[in-house]
Amino acid sequence: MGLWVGGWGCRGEREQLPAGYGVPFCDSAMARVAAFTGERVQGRGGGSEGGAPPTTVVVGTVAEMGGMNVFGAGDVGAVQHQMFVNLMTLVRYDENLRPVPYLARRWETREIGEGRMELRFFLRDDVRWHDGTPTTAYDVAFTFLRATDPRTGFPNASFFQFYLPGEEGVSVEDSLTVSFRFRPHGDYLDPWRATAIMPRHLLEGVPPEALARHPYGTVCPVGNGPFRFVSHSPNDRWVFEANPFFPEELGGRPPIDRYIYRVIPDQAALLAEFLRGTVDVYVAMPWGQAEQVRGRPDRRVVVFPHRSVLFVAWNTRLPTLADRRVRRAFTLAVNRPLLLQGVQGGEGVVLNSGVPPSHWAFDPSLGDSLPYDPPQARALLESAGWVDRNGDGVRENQAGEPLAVELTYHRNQERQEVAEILQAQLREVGVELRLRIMEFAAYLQAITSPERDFQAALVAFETEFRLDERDLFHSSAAREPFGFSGISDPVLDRYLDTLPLVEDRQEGRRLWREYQLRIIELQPVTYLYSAFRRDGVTSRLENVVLDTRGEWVNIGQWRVVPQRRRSP
Amino acid sequence: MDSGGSCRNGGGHLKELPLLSFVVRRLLGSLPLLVGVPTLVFLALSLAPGDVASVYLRPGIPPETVVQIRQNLGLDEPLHVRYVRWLSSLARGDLGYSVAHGVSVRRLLATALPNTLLLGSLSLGLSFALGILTGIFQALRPHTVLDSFLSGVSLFFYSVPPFWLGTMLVLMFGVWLGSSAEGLWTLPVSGMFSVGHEFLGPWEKAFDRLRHLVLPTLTLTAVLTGGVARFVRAAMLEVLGEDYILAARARGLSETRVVLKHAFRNALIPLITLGGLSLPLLLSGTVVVEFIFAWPGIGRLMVTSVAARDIPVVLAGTVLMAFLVVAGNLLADLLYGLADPRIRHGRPQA
Repeated sequence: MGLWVGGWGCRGEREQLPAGYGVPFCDSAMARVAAFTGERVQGRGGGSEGGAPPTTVVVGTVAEMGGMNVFGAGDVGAVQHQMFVNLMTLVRYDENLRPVPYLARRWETREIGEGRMELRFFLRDDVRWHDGTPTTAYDVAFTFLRATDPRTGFPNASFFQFYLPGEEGVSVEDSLTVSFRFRPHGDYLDPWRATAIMPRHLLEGVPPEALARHPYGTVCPVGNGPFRFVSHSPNDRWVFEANPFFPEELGGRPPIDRYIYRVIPDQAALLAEFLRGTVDVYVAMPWGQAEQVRGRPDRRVVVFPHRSVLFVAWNTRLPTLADRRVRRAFTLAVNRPLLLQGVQGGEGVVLNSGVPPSHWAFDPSLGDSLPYDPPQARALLESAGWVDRNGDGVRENQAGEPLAVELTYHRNQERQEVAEILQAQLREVGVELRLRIMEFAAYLQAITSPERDFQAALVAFETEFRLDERDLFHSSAAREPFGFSGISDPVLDRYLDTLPLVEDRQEGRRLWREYQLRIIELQPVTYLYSAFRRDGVTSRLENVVLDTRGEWVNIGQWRVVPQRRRSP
Repeated sequence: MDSGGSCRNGGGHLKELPLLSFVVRRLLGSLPLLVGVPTLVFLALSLAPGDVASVYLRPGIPPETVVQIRQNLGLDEPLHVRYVRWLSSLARGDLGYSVAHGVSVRRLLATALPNTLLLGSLSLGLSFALGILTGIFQALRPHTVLDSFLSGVSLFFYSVPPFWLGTMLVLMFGVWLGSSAEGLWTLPVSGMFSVGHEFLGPWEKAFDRLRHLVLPTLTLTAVLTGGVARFVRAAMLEVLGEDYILAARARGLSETRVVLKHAFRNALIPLITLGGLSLPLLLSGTVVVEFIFAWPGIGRLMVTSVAARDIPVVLAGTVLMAFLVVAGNLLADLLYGLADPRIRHGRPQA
């Protein structure tokens, strides 16, 4: 089975080649994989043995992923496949979110003067790209150079914001040693946890501005991770197979022979496939469906803290919402524990800041900072001059203008329920919340464009492990896409400038707490909750770890119960 | 029936033209449609809020990176430049690149189009076959209990939204009637083939594909059949009341011959029109069904592409649909000649 590559036409993908390529890229790349795999499999015996059908595991999701091109695909599914499935990062996080070696065997840092540090990685010598080419320090340097080259348009360029960009920031000492220079800052290893290394020998000739659109990522990814690419049918499935040459020290060849990522956009169909056993892992199951699955003997629902954050951004540029008393009153009027219970079955954490529970700076003691308190909300609104003057249940200011705010959001079941609950709860304190549902692209345009065509917006984020809220709340970012609230506060600015540079976590926790208290005071946004993630897993699978790092974090160690290997 | 009459008139006018010339002229005449419709779509999508660069928007992205991404994608160019570039690429057969899917549009269409054509043509063929049979059956027993019952059933399926019917079928065959993939009553509820299909033999593969086709085809067919049946019933009832049918029966022809050769053939003209108009349904009619049954076809592709403002994909799909509209109408015109001897495009005149 190891000989079969290509599937849906890596061969023949000729129209995407950047100028200067004489040989069709994907033809050549996949031929090299086939040649290497064929030679080596004959020698070592890869895939399932004795002609038995391959053990296949199917993960089902509602959304297609962007692919294996680090420079072009940044959605959650794609990034996890880059990090854990098809490619490798220099470091990864353990279950306590501490960096541990992966492609890098070890690393060291030293001060090099002028307020700079040097980070030196020593790479493993037993990792090969799936076409047989060794993975070296030159690949790491190539990835860094392209990521920091402005022409690439790397969406995650901010990962390396404290690294010296370009040639100045990196040097290859030998094929297994590479060093980087940067301004001291916290979590300096995180970019190397989040950015998978790309194959220099395949992509070096691609102009940086063409990298994001290169067919490498979706048609012929040649990785170095535990699973190698077999085929991709857009909007349908990705097929990977075990890499028999994955280093033993990192777990060796994965126990499962094949892994399929299936896209099933309708959640009812996805649930049906999961219940029937044709999907082994159901990613991001809604609460309602999880209730149907619970109690079944051969299925389990794994619930774990996630990095998602849901909040209402108030457009403080508008006179009504410029008054912090009004914004605080809105927050006090919302019964967020009840909201979480109603929408997510209570599976999550009520938030008062953008620090999710999985982050080291999360402070549970801040959870009670703005508890549900309608009387205090009413008092605050009255002190701000909003009184129900005509007895219609909605407050008015002295000019007789009603306290009405329009909440913009794009429709999905969760947002719809949240919006309706918010509307009902704010009504209780005399606030009219009007709901404005938009199609996603239009919604994004409305809330991120300089015109800020919204009053309040329901926003969901998936935060990075290295938290940086400058583009949300720094006054310099008020005109940038994510400066939704338009808040401008010198105290916040100081915290936001300082926090990313703090290396000591104890000091960091203190500063993060002070920063969060300031956010709670100003309330540029009303944080609602961080919902836990729910994944369904069949009992056919063993050794599956699902946690805040992601669904695929240990896919290389997943096992199928021997009696339940799937027959084709 | 009006459409049939007007077609007869059209056919009369076209008698003068040789067949090839007729086809060429019709195709040339369709060029404005083939270019005009995508142009309107291009304008509408370009003027709609948001663009495909939003795929890359995320917290922390520097503003200059957003600018660079838009530049790399060619989104920073004026509307007319992008339009002319698209047109010239189209003329060269280059359909462009899908940012949202990360592959060339040609590859996307090459993957999705056959899937949709398979599902659409099977459903269309089945629904016409079943609809014609049902319609004829009803027309021969007008106003009976059976006719009323079948009318009710046709109306029910004609009225049922495909998303509801599809979801019910998913629940019925995917959950209620079988809890395992191998159950007797269990049919696949998503995708085009099973896990491990590539390890099956040719016959097993074909059977596997057929099983996956059952539910989406059933959904589409059920919805389309009702309309066709009602259409045929009405056309047949009208024809069966004509004098020449009475004359045929008076001449002692068998009922089968009367119905099939005389009545049905004359009822065929409006049905051909319906068939021609239904051809674009091959692509557009499958959207909801493809979504529910995870069928990786054009309909689903178009929906996700519109949502992502992935203009090249939408434009290519629109061109395809416009082409099918043209082809459907042309095909109907040509079939009129087969159904009605008085209409012969390009036949040498005596």
